[in-house]
Amino acid sequence: MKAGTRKRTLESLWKLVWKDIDKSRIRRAKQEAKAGAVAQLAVKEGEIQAVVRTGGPTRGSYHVSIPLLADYTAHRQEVVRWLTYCPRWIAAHFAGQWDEGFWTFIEENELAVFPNDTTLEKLQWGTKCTCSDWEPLCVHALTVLAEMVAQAEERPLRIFRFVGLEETDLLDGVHQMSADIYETVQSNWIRTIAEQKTPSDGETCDWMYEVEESTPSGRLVPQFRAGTSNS
Amino acid sequence: MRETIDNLMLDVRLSLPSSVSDDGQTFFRWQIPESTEQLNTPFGLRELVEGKGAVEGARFHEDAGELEIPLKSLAAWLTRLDGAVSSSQSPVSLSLCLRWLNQVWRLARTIVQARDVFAGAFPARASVAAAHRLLGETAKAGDDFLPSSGDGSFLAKWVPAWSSNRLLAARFQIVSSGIEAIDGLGVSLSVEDVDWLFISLVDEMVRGELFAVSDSTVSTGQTYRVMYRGEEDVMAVWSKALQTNSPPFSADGWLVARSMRGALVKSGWASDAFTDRSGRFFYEVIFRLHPPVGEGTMADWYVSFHLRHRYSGQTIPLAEWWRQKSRRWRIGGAVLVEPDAWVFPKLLEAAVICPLIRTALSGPDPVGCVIPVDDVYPFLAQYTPALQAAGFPVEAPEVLKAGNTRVRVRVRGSARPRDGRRVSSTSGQWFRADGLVEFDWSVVVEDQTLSRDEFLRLVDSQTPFIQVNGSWRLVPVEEILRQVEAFGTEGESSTTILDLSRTMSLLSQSDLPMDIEYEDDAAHVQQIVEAFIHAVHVPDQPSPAGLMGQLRHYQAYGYAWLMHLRSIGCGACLADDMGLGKTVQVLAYFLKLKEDNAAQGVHLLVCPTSLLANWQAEIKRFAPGLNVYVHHGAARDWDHVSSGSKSMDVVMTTYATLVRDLDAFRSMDFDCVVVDEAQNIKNSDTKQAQALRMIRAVHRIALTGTPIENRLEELWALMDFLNPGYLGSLSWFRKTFSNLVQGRGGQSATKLQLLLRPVLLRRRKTDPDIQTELPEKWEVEERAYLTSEQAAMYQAFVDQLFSGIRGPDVTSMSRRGRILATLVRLKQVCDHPCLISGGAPTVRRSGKLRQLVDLLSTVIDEGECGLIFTQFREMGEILCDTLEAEFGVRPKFLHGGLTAAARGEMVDAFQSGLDPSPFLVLSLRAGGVGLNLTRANHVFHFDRWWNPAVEDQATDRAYRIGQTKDVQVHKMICSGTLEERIDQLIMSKRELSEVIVSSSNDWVTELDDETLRELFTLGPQGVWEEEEP
Repeated sequence: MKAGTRKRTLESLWKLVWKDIDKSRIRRAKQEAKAGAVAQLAVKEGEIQAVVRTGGPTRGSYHVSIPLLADYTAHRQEVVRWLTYCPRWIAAHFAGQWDEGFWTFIEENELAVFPNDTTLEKLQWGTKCTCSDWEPLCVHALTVLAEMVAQAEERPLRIFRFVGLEETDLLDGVHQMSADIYETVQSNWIRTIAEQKTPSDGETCDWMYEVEESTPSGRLVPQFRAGTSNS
Repeated sequence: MRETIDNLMLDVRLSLPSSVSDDGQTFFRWQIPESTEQLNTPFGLRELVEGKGAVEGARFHEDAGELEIPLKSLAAWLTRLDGAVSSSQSPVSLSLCLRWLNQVWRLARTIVQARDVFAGAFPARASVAAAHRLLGETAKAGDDFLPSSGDGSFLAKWVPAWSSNRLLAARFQIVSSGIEAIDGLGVSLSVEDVDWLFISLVDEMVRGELFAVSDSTVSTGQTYRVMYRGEEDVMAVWSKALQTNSPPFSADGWLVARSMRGALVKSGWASDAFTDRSGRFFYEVIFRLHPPVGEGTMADWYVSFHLRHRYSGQTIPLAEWWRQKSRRWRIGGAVLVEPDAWVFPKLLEAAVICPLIRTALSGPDPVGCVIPVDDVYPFLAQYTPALQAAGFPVEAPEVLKAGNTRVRVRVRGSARPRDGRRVSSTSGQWFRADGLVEFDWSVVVEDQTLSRDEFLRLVDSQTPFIQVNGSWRLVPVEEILRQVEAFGTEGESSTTILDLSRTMSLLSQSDLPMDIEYEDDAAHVQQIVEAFIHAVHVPDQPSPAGLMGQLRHYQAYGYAWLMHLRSIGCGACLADDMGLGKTVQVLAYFLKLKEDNAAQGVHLLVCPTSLLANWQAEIKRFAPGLNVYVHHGAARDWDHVSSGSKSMDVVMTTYATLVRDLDAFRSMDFDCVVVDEAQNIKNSDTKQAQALRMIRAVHRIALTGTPIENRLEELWALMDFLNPGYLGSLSWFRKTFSNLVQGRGGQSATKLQLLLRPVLLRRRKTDPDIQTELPEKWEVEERAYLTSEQAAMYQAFVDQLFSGIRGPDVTSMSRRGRILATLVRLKQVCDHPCLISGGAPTVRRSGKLRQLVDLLSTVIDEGECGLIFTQFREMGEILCDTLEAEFGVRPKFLHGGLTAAARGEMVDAFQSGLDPSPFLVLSLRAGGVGLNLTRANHVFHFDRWWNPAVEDQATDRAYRIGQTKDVQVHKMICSGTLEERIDQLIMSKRELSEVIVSSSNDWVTELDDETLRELFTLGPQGVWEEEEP
């Protein structure tokens, strides 16, 4: 693939952090993440917490806490508003795509959800793990980071977890805000047309009881008495 | 009592089992008004506990007003309840909870009726939740891994398989309303609870209808399969447990799980739809197009976004989603949990297909998008099919292709006067051929009429829709536009009758029906228009009595056609091939008008100078009754015309004279103006063309032998003279038919033919009908005038001869010699004066040469070939020079000075077409015999040989076996000279006997002086007027 057309990925941004860390650790962390080692990943008490269960020589279950890249919890409403006013970003999120406009928005507004030059240092200082590794960024912590990057790659709104905002909370907030502003953003005539119902739109239950004959499957098959047949 | 029962409300309270072996209880409760205490149980509930219809395990708690029924007897009781409440006489109403329970029961019954069940077995101590999980995990388990259900005792149950998507959708409906929407059941329901309720009911119902349980591996003949140890026993006890209310059976858990998995993998339990709570499997995103509200066709349309249930068809606007306070969407009884997770990606998918939808996702609360009026058609024609193909239903108002669409034209007479030439019909009724008529057109679609303005607005806004009787119609705008374009869409509402007729005759050929309505004051217009439309139906005309000779059939038609066009006031272009007799048709027309006394003045005939002689000769031959004056030459006298016009029928003149004496011509009103060789006015900017337009006449006729259909500008100019405006404006005409010029004829060519059919009559020599009427070889005398130089020289030779043969010392020998010498000189003078006096051999110096060039250009236009014979070697060279100068290719000259081999090559080259020239010049003697030149079908005898047999021999070079076309022989004769007179002599003698005229010229020398003088003297009107001053 040509350099000019290469898709921008979060992973490529995180190279900024990975480059100063032992390659074999990174590789292993990514493998562990892929294998589903990370559980209970959540923002708690102003930091990112997770449980990492690994196999191999360091087999065990470890609690990891990682500092937020920035704390946006106070800016939740702002983020909610941005998203509310661009449903395309939400749609792209659900579709597992990074909307170009969303990416640009983050860059132009310099949202702290992407790593920068100081990120590594910050992580090294603030990350904690219950393992005995002397390295501040142990394999478990790296596994959590790799998991977070992979998740945000697939679900763009999860990028906000790096700044303390959870996807579900944001989506709930967006819906709440949308519901609140609905009557003011949609004009009367649009609401009249868009909410219009035709008589055939109504609810009926009859369709549920329409019998479509099937053949009983499985090994033990019931033989019904004559006269009780469905036909 | 009746009222009290009406008030009876039944409710239900569930006490759910915690484990699979727990029965669970259902409590039915009722409220009975106090006044009817004697009715202590509603509608026979007591019968369920006591007596014949008792349900097992049912108990009354009269103090609490409740009936307790174990889960396993619920189905039986619900069956009775359903029957009771379904009856229209039912005094009982059901609470929301009981209605829900009734739905559960009805769906369970549907499952059983569909036989959509399989045999299940659950660890007897498992909780309901664990049993549920076991089913789900087993359904999705791989071959090498089965969830452990442990060894021990199992409870057999019939389990719904949910193997159709419709049943899964019904389950979704009930599960989601059960766990999200129903309060008051007494418990908080989980998905597992509801599914267990289904299992309990289905199990109960199946057992009630069961006759036996069979082992399908046995019944399908899979007898070679090796059984696992103990397998047969497990199946036996399991079967039994499925039929009877037997206690838990012992079995190997792996065998049980393995057997269940066979049924589960194909069941709904393995489907993603089973666990989905968002509704993505049962609802779809649809788009609904709304036409603008109100009357106007200009307002924008709107597409609203909806969810539609795949089975019930229930449709909910997305707008309702934004009214939900949380991300749970309550739709009827069901609740969709976080449906935005699939609805939004769906919208994004649609937005990729249709950019209009994309705009909706750029603002908050998307509910739909505006379709600007200009985009409605693309939306319907382009995006709708694309969306549908991608699985998005689009509900658009019914837009039918409009049936029964017509163009309606209403024609009125015009009150506005307009200057123009007046045309009269022979019936004496006067009207203006280019007078104005008012008209308007409208478009009728089914019952609805669109005025021109309305229609054009529709076109402008690119919304080809109108509403007819409440539904929308797609108007075939393009088709209509093509039709009405001819009327002009610029708001013109008047046109000339000719224009209108032209348009109508075009439209009458089209697929789109046209209604024409004439108002009373436009009755005469109708007559003309219809005459045009039916231009091919020309009424027969009797030949004029004064016509000498018989008109051929096609000539009679052409003459009648000229009369017909005159009657409808329309100029005519007679464009028959050269030699078909255009002259005689016009003469018949003149004669007829004279005989009917219908001419409203003198006819004016304009032709090139070279044709004056021909016309005169033809008039003398066919219509001697016509009084003709030739206004030409130095001696011309307009007074002769103005004073003698009463007795005069035709004034003949040339284009050059017309221009010169234009003022005089303009002072007269002519009856018919006929222009011969009308290609002379092909350029409307020339003086000739302009002069002709100024001549006032009742009728105009153009004659041309040149095919003109493919020369658009010439055709337009010619028609502009005949019928101004008939071909529309030059720019319209060019635009409409430009592809003809580019060689892409097709539709345009047909259209042009249609357009011209009423006013252009062209017959080809090759038309089968014509061909049968033509002789295979026919001779035409082409008459030319001498130029003044030729005439003076001619006269000098004649004078010299007669002064030289009168003297006393003139012997008969010298007389004879002088006569023969003069004979040769005069013939040379007729050919070209430079043969005598030298000088430049230009075309201008010889009338005959000039006419030959005219004739040859017609031959070229018709794509034919010709032979030109001359008896003078020098003349042959001049001919070659001239033709090279005129047509760009030098013809070969075959003469006696060439070797036989050279002649042979020349002949072969001409025959095979290798010779690029369509002409071959031959010396009469050298080319007279033995050659085969059938490529040519025109033979020109540039000078005369007195012996017709010699000419005939020469002619036969072309007219012989192998000739596929008719051969036309042109005998070039200078009018008023000895050529003409000798020709008459030969013709008269030839009729007697061909042998009388010997092969020599000697007989001429035997003539006496007087006869000789008659023969030689230059006749009147025989001099060519120089056309250019």
